[in-house]
Amino acid sequence: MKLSKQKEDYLKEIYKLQTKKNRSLKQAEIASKLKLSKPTTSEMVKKLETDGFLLIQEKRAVSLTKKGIKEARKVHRKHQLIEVFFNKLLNIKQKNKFHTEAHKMEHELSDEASDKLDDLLNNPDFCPDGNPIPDKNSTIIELNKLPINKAATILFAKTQDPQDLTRLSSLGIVPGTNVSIIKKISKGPIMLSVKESELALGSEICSKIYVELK
Amino acid sequence: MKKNCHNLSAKKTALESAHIAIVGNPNTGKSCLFNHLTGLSVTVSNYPGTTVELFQGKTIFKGNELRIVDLPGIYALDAASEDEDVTKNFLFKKTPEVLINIVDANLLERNLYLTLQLKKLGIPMIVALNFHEEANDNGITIDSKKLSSLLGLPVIPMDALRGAGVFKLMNQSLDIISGDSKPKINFSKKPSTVEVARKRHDKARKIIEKVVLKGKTKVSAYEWLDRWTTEPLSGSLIMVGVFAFIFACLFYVGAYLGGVLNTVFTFLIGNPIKQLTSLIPNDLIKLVLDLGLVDGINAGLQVAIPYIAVFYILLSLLEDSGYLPRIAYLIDRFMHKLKLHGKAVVPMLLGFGCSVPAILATRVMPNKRERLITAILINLIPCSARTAIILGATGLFLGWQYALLIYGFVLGLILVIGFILGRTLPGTSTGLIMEMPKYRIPNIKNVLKKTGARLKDFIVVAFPIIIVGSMILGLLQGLNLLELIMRPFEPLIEGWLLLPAVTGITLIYGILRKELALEMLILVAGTATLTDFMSPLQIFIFCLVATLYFPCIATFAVLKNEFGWLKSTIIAISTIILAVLIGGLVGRLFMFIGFLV
Repeated sequence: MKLSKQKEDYLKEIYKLQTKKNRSLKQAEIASKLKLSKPTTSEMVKKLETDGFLLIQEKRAVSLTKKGIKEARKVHRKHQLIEVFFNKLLNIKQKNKFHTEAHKMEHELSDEASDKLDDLLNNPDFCPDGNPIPDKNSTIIELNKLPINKAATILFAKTQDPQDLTRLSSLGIVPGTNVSIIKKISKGPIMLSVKESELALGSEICSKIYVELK
Repeated sequence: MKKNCHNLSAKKTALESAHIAIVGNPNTGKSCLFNHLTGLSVTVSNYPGTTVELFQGKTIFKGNELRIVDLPGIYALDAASEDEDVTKNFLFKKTPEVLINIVDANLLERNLYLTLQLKKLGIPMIVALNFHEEANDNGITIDSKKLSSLLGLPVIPMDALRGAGVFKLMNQSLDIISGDSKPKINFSKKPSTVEVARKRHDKARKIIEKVVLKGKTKVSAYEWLDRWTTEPLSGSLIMVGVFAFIFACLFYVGAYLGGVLNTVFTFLIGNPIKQLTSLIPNDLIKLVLDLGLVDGINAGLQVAIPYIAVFYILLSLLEDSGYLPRIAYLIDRFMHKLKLHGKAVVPMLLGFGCSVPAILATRVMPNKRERLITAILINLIPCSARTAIILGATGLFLGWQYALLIYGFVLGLILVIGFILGRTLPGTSTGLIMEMPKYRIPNIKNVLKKTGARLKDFIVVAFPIIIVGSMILGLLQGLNLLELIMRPFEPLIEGWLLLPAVTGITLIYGILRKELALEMLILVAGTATLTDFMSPLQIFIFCLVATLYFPCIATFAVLKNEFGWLKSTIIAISTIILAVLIGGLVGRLFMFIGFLV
């Protein structure tokens, strides 16, 4: 099933915003990012929830589901690959130009064509803005489901608690940090290795952190 | 230089502003460095967030008197906890002349996050690279010169425990203080956004990549211990073992020490004083002096000091070894049933020592709701003064099994109440997010210093109360007023609790300080052999009631500070009702089944 252009844009922007903020989003934040009205956004958010891409939490906060992340990353990846294509091969250096082109084309490019494009560009790791391009076959799971001793990278959290967020930030659990689980107690806390230190994290906070398996 | 020295000593020593402030992550040896510099007793511990209060001290270095403050261990200046708030506010309001940022060489990357944030403040700063040698042994070599040039800050490798590098550190600090530059501080009230945090972490990582050489990382010496203590089965067994060991130490060593202190005191001070007072013709004055100067003090020495001292030594050992966070990890899952998390365990364990610091330690809990639940439960946890009562009366006269029964009963009650509170108080529980420090061998000097400080505090506060309290009791007894005063309470004490009416006064004394209840009981009974005065069942009920009603006036004051009048009063009254209710019920139940009768 091909998603509408509009839905793809929503997912992509929510993904980018969540990666930046490392938490679930207020609907107003999404509306202002997409420059749309709140009612419009709220309606679309509901649709995307029905599709299983989004999760509406307490106080109507929004987070992507694993399915949503997968879809968002696909579009995001296409966007970035097209940007690299314009920037490197077509030598178009103005950001607004290659960005606008990519924005138009990202919805049309098929999955197969995007993989071919990836190969053609020698599998770039970063887009022209310096942001990492997601891998084609990456597995996204919640931190509490990460097997022991398996390396992973923090994608983002879907917590809403500002204090939890600041605490996680200061201890190094921010998007992009490499982590691995040293041990865990079933249905209980995990012991996480982060930046050479060990942290004990309760199971509910772990279930609110998405990681990408390496 | 001379002029500056004069300048330094001219400044008022009134609290607050300091020349040097020590800042760093928890468990980096801050308090240890502080102890080393000042010789003043402070709480040093291995648990993240124990030093919530500020510790100030003085040192004389090259003829200059320098004031040093030890700020709470924090991970960032973002006010994610009250510790961070305390530090942030202090730095803002009482800007020190030099910041010593102590970092753990083993965990440099994580530690540099705070360093980079502190640097932005603009206060002259020195980075003290602690555990430098330990890191070397672990296969981590740090190029401190390069680190210094990358950070743009002086970096001094040191060993806070042994004092290596401390002289250099002080020299540099003095140079900065003697200089004329006034720091301009650049202060932001807002917490770092995730993007800023991320950039700062990236910066720290890039610095690390340039300055840290990693050889073969050796397996940490205590990894086996870490494994055994955090595995659910073996960990639980070890935990039970540790608690059993503590109990046994208290029971045997405490009782033994009590006997020794009693003998020594009676021989050296008690008997001579009594010989002197026997010369006094007035019986009333003689009684008051005997009780105040001899029997009261003796009771304190016999039942309070030994148990409290032994407990504090054991607690300090546990704190400094790094074992407490392991317990938190291990029973986090269980604590969820109380809608709390593992982090509540540490304040609750501290509660076995004294309720006051334990309630202060609830500040590490991330939200008000959990703080309140934990604080309420701490009210019921037998603190060392209540342990003195349980062991000094029930343990000594009925046997350890009965003392254990009281503990079991109270702990069961705590679980039930925790369960009810967790389910009825509104709000959600946030999760456990806690650093797991490395195991370290506790430094005996630090442990003794800490215990000494706590005991000194106890003696200074408690003994005047004991002496005055005993004298008042003597006066009441001598004037035959005691029974008159206790008459209105008779139905409650005698009728409901089945205790001798005069014990009511001792329970009232217990509000001042818990262990006074037993000390005064001994005086009222006129003998330290309580079984001559009360039946075994009465001793048991007395201890149970004394354990359950709210700890003491000091605890109430802390509760009031932390949660306000209304909540603290409700807590205090509920515990009294609970104690009376349970005391009477248990008494009747035991009578009915013929237990202890």
